[in-house]
Amino acid sequence: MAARPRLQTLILELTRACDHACCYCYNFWSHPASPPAGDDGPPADVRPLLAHVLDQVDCSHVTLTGGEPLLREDLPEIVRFLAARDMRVNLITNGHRLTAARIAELIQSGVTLFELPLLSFHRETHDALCASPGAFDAVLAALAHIRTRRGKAVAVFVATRRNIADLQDTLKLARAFGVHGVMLNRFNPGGRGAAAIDELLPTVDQMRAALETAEAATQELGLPISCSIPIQPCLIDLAAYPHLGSGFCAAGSSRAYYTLDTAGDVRPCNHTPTVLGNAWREPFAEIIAPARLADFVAATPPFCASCTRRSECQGGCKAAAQVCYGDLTAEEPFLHRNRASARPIAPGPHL
Amino acid sequence: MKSTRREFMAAIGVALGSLLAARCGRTSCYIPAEPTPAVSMGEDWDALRQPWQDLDLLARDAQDLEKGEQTLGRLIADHRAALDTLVRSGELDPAVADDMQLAFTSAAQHVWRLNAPITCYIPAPYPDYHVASSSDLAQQAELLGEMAARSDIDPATVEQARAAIERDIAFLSMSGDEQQALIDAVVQAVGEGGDYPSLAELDLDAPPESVEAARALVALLLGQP
Repeated sequence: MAARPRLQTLILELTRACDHACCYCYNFWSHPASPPAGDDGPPADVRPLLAHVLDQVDCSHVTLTGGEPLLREDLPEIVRFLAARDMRVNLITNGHRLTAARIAELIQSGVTLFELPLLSFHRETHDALCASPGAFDAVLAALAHIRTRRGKAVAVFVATRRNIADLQDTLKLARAFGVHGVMLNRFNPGGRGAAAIDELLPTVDQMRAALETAEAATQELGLPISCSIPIQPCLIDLAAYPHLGSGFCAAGSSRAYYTLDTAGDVRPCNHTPTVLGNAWREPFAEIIAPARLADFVAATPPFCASCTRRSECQGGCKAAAQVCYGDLTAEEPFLHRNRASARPIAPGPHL
Repeated sequence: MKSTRREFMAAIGVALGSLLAARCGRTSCYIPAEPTPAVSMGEDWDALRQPWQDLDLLARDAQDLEKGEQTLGRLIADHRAALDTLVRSGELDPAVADDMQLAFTSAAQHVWRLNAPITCYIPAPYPDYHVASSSDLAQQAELLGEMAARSDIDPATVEQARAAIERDIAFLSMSGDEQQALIDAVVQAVGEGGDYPSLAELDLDAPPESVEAARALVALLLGQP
């Protein structure tokens, strides 16, 4: 019998519905050109699908996301199902429905990490980016309840032109609420965010200043900070920020985060609309076979053709290029808008 | 929040891996470290110790994505194979071996996460454990005060966050006797009219196999048969 594919994590999109309308949203179905997400209808029981997939892979970590996962009333049951299979469960939520009671229930059910947005230390900025009054109060209350229940949380700061100046004090706020780390994610256009690139996309100089702030905060506040959205080395040399975690697109590698929706469709990541196959109709190993992923993995912009770090960086987030410009090989917006700042990459080892 | 057997063994593994990484002491360029005595415990046990000693190799390899993953997988497989040998020879109980494997896997993944370039959705730099020291808590309390003054946070939320910090500070500030007195008071309060099970009947977070696994690992790494 062939070995089961090993996944570091599996992402499950529990619903496309959301009670926020974040201007930076990357979900491809929130793109202005996409058909309205509408009502998913009565939610299907995803446990048979999860069992079907998890039986075929070697995986011990599942990330639940959406849309907004807390719109599903059966979320605790799903978490308990995963915990019973010895899975670590990461829950990505906007936090608006995370009441004290729900937090207690979810921690008891087996959520090991909550991932919540914290976009500013100003209520009006956070609420405006989420397009949801009360979002700031809700997320801070949720963080306090998680802390009280001895749960674990990381805060996500999406760096846009509108909030990037707030980073330092927002990191302090996150630390004050006892988060275990911060994800400093540059705004990555896609979905609804694709319609707001001019308004939201930070410049290279703004992003560099934010990284300097974050680098200092890791030491002053003892706060682990990572940058999950790729930053092209030709734009910013991340070696200058040794205490920040960072990474590049993992699609097709053993670090890939394949994304599953409730219908069983599997995608290379949750930013792209590209469907590799359906888990109900094909073995998972065939869906993620290298040949199936080849075009996605190989896609890099012509601009990067001579770069020595092309295979590592891959030009940034190709899914963003795909959603914003309709082509996986296009320059994704952060590169496209800042390419004048690009510096040549010297050959040699880069660690 | 309940600490599970898995979390307990993971913490044991990470702690042991960290001690190995630090070589249990601070060295500098000018103070050469004493080499760790190479006490052989027999070929099979030495094979089990080797993956632990190779964690520093993993730390280096992890900076290269593919190489790091290969080393991670190899070390975990080598550790499992060494355990299987010891189980087959009757020197280890299978349940103890499983817990030892869990500890090593956690240690290796911890080392890998700390050194590997990260991706979305596995928040890699955040360890699976968290110990708030008094200084951590004091800093949090200070920042909470500062941010409460500068940001219009809901006062009820500030109070809840403050209460959680104060609770943790209070507990950390207690002496061993005070902590025991608190535990005794809780036991007494709950116990009035209650029917306590014996210790052996309790579903403890650290079952005997886990304690044995932790003891065996410490002995192995200290070279104490």
